[in-house]
Amino acid sequence: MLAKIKNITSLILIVLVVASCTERIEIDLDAQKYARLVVEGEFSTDTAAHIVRLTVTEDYFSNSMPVGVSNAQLTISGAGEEYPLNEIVAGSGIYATDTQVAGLVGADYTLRIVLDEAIGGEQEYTANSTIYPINPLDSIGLEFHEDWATEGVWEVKCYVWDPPTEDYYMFHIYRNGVLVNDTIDQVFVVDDALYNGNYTNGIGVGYLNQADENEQLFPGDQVTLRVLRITKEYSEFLWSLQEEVSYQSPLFSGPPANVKGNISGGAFGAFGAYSASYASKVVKPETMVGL
Amino acid sequence: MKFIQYLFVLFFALLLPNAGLRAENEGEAKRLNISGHIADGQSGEMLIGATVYVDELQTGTATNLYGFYAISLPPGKYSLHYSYIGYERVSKVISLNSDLTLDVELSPADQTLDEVVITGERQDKNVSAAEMSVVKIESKTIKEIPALFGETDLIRAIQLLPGVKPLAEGSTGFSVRGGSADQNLILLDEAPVYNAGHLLGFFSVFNNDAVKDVKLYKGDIPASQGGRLSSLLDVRMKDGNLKNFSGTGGVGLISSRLTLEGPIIKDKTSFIVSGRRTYADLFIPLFGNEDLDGSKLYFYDLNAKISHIINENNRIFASAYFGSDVFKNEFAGMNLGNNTLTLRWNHLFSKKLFSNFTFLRSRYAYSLGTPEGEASSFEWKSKLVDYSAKADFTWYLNTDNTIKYGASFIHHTFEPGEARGLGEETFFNAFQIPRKYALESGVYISNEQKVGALLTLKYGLRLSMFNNIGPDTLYNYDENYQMADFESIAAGKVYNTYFHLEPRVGFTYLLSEVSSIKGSYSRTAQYVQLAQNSTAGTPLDIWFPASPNVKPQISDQGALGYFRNFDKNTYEVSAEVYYKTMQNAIDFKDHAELLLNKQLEGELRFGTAVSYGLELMVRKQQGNLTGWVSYTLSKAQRTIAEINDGKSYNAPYDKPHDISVVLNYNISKILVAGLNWVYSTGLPVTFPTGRAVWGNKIVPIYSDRNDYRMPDYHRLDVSLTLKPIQKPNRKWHGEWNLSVYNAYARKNAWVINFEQDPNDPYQTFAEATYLFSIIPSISYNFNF
Repeated sequence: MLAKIKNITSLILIVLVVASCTERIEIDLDAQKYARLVVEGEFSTDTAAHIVRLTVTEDYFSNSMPVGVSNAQLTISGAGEEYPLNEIVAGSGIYATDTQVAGLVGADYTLRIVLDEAIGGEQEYTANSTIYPINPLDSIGLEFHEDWATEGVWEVKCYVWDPPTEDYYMFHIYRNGVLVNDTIDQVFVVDDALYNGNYTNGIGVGYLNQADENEQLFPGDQVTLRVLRITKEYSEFLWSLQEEVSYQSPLFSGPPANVKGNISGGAFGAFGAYSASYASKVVKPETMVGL
Repeated sequence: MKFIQYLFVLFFALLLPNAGLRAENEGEAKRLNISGHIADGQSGEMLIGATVYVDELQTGTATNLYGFYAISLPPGKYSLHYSYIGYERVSKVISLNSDLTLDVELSPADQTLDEVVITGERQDKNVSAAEMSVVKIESKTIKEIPALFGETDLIRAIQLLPGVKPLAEGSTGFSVRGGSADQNLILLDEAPVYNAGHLLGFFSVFNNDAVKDVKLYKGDIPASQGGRLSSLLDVRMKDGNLKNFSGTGGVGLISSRLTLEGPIIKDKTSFIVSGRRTYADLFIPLFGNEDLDGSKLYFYDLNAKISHIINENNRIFASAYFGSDVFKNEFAGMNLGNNTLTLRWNHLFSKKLFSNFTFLRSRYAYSLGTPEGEASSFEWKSKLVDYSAKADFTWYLNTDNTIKYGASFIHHTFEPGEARGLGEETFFNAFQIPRKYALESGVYISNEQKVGALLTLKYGLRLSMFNNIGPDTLYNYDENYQMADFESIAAGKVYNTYFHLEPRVGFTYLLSEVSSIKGSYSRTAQYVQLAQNSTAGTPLDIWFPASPNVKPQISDQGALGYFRNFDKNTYEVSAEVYYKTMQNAIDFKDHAELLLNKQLEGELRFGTAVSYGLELMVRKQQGNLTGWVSYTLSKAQRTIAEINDGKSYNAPYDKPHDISVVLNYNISKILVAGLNWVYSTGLPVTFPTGRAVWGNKIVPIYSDRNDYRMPDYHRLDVSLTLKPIQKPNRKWHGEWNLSVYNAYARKNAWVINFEQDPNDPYQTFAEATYLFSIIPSISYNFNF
């Protein structure tokens, strides 16, 4: 919620800035000093294939698709089990477990990567994460605000009891089974400091803009909210990442810095293990609030 | 510790005014005293820094901050010359055979064009005065500098001086000799102003019409002041016209202002009230953005002061300032502002012992939130309150020695942040960062001593002390800056004390009548700092005190300068080099979380900083063409173990080259032109060299901090002022001012962002945002 307060503050303060203009400019940047391995890994309580993606860093203006790292040996182990991952399409750098694998609440999981060839001077990389318990969602609500944007905005509202422990969450929103907030800057990542131990009472956790064809809702569409309880370390990684991919301004932004993840050996990125809870709602013609 | 407490008490004993009186009665019988006030003959306003020169002794003195002067001379006949820039000189011949109170009034000089106004021999003050690294600017000069939106601005004028740089385009925050924005002590009639900017810093809180005197100390801060490392900006308000009711004002594009002043009892009591308000919200419909309709956006300033002369030896002053920024629309609102209240009493214990007692309160507060009535309504408040008492004594021992001593106490209350939900349906818990209390005190003694005809020595010592007082929660951090444990401190308990000795020494050596060299060394300690991580800063940034986890920052600065005047003091040339080191310099960890953070101290990282440079300036204050040209060559760096892998990096305001040209030209009796041109190297920035794709976004990978630079910044502003000929009997005078900001419309980059192409997710490009293209504005100024 601190993040939400800061979003609103930024909104207030940005409106104050007299009309400013932008234009593209040419900048000469040096080449990167050395290539680093990039790891995107997840492991949840869902019974599904869990994905880890390996790519490499490039020069900033390389402007091409990232190169996947193939022929690596990957395993995720924890709670007495070991799950190997295999590259799903040769050359993609995307590795997946078997489809019947599910993480257990309370367990620590370790991702191990052994590369064919060293990247950034290392061949072996590891990362750890823990799955914490999550209270199941009561329900979600959908409220339409027609004056929040030119064609209106649907607010996805969350109803659940937050346990009195220090927790961190992130939210995925699906429309008819397809993930809507598919870039990391659209995902809400929150701590619970301001409503710890209380019922969340419909707090907004996602916003769908009717003007965007990837987000617009029509009667009969099913909206699914997936809440993930993540570790504090993973949430700090995501906040830093979101800061780095958002607009920097001399008013709010501190000096940019590299995002630190939880992968050993100087790799970029993070491995997150988390528990998940789902709730769905179907859009009816009139605006509606759950419960 | 006990020994230091003893030292402290000893210093206090020295403050007893009896010490001054006793000395006067022993062995001083042969010297008599001339003292008094020098004032403006038309308004009765006391003049600060006006000079008195004694022909027979080839020496003189200047008035202090309250227009008071004192000279000690053997009995005899003397020719005295009183002068001040912009005023006609007054000469008096006196026979001195007993102590004499001599108040003098000076008349403003006529603005005749065909002669250089003759002012006193002591116009070489910049050469002879025993202070360096200080610049004085008159309110009149500030008014003549072309300004953004036509808004005359004291702080923008300061930013044109050598060694002073603005934080970012349009900002009224400033950096002096490589220091950060919070290292400047800004005083308005002795009260500290914590946030001197309106509207995110685009305009300063100072209404130039109410200002009498502005002095900026870039180093060599007098021993009577402390608490900030880099500079002291001392702003003094006018006392009010003692003779006639008069007013000044103006109507501009962005704001209007009105100042009224006059006597309550002629020649005894005066008042001045000065107000300013913007109406920027009237322009909102022009933006054509429906979301903004119905928004309120304005700021205002109000200064008020009453001065009263009780008798020859006593004067009292009460000054107040209120200011606020208000923003409100249907989604959210924000309200922030300073207010200060100062009560002062000048008391002359004798003709040789001048004293001033000050009591003040200064408050900075902000609140923001969303409208009530929804479950998501919340309110967030923060404030900072200072109560302070000061006593300052000046003992005019003899012609060669002026001793100053005194003490000050400031009680700080910090309320860093309180956020809570509004209404019963709220899903927010109340969240509060605990308040902090502290006491900042100082005692000082200093002497300015003339040794022979050529050398003046200045030496002083300040002893400062800082106490943290409960109630509070003290967090203890481990070596990874994670909270290890915490303890609760009881109310009233002093749980931490810091103290520092701050020597301040300097010399001035006259090489000739028109040239001198000066040197100085000073040590300053800073106990209160601003958690500001962004370049320009926001009004939400909070001040936080030193504590067991945060040591006071210390700066040692040495400076050496050469000063020379040409052509009968028409041109003042100076060259000054400085070198500054800072210990316990503070910076913030990567991606620091500074707002609403109970463990703010865990976000800080400590190290050292160094800055050095050369400042050159040529200044002309007389004639039809006045102004200055300045050039600063400098470097500022920080070294902090956990930042940039411990390698030294450019400090945020390091700009190697900085040039300012400020000119003002009287074209004719009714037309005046103004021009300023600034050029500086771009601010240091951190740019990426590599990239990764994560979460379907391109994430930049950076090399070293502040290794790159923004494009160079330069800009030209021009203005034209039309002063219609004044009909002799009309009281009302008006003038029109047309000014153009950024006359050749240079698109100076405010920030550079790297964006992803919306059509091709793997394409990135650099995009510069610039704030102001060419901005013309017109305003009408009047006085009566």
